[in-house]
Amino acid sequence: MCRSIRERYGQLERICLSYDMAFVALFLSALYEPQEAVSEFRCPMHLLHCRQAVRNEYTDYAADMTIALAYHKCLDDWKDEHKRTRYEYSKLLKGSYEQIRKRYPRQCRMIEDSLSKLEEIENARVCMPDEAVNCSGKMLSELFVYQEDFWSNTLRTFGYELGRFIYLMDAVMDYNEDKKKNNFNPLFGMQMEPGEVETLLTMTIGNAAHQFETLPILKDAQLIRNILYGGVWQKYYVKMRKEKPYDI
Amino acid sequence: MISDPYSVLGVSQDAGMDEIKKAYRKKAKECHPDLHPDDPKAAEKMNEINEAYDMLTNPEKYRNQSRNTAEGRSARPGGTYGGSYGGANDRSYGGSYGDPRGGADPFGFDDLFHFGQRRGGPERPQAQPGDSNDLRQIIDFICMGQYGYARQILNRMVSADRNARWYYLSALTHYGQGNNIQAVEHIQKALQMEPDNPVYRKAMQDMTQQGDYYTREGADFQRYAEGMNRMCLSLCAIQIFFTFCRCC
Repeated sequence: MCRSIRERYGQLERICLSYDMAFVALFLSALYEPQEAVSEFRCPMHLLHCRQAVRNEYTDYAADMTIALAYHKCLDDWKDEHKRTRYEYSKLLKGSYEQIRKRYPRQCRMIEDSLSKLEEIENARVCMPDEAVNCSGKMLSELFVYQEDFWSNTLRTFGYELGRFIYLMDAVMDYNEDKKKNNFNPLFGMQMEPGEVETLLTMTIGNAAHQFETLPILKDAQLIRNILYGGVWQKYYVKMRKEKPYDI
Repeated sequence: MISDPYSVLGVSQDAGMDEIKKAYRKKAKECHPDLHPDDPKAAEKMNEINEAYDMLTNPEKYRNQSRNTAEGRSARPGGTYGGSYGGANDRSYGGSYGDPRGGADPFGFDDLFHFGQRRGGPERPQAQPGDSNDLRQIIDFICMGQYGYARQILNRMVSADRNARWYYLSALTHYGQGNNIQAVEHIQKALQMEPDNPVYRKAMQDMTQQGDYYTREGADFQRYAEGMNRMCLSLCAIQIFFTFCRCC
């Protein structure tokens, strides 16, 4: 993905790399098993070893979605925190984003609509936790659908539940800090024990995992399982060991 | 609807999921329309294979479909899904096999929250002697899938009438509307008020069923994730997510 971004957009855009879209690339490649171009190179950020890069249309797609999300994140940060650097960066990304928007109008439209809805919900400050969580889910759901085909519904449902999980997990992880900074957090005002929030998280990721298990994914299936059943909880376990259970 | 999905895929009736997935991939590679450009029946054959796979991996969808049709509700299309299966040289086949879902909201997110289309989930509520007219109306609306109307009546009821039964029905309505967080919150409130009520307990179990299945299946992965110390976590995360940059 990193090389895809560099070759197709530029060095600057590489800073946008995120794990979420790398997972999309991994997932779609496992489902569709496309032809892949494998090459060896030395990464300028990790010079110690020669590396292999695997590239296909899904790594390119995920690279495009990464830029799209990064562009919107900059706009968001500029709106929220008025960081000049974010504004300048968004101007630099705008050209690339416009190219991507022409190529993937459905996904970009969903990102734009979801983010604007999320902004409304967060500004309204009324505690409707599901609205915010579901909105985030809806956004990611569309990104998992590279093209409309037989798998679209399952991919959408998977992306939806995963998006909800990620947003909810972030809310759990940021709970104390958001309270201090008076930021929006969908969990505010809920009368729940930490263990009960874990029930919610498990329900959501459980639904996502179920969708995954119905797909005919064989290549990299164990790797994906490692992530869905274990990897997604790692930060949570670290935090639970470090801090006392938070008050929700 | 095809009558024998097992024979379409060439597996025995007691085949496990892995075997079904392998058989699907093999059949799809053999019959992919890309490999048979002159065969007019190739698309039909591909649809049949897709449908057979879908029937074996999502059996409840087909059970619900016949139930929905019998009750006069619009069923989700089960037959021609259109689109490619994926595989070598995957291309979008949106138009060629059947009906690609087009339009502003092709997936119809409202459909996602219909009781019948979600895997598992709580059973339909039943009226009990002693239920007020309002509660009976709410029950009828929930059974018809008209959660918006159920919500209106629920909201209209004054605090004094919001007993355990109110919370139970509110939980079912929220669940139907896709508001998992509020659904769980309300069913837990119902249980706080009537801890020994088997109907509420069952509803709670049904809602979290997917999560319980996930916890059982993923126990090993979760133990692994929980047991790792922080140093290992970062290495693991990098290794898992950067599959496209492999060290030689």
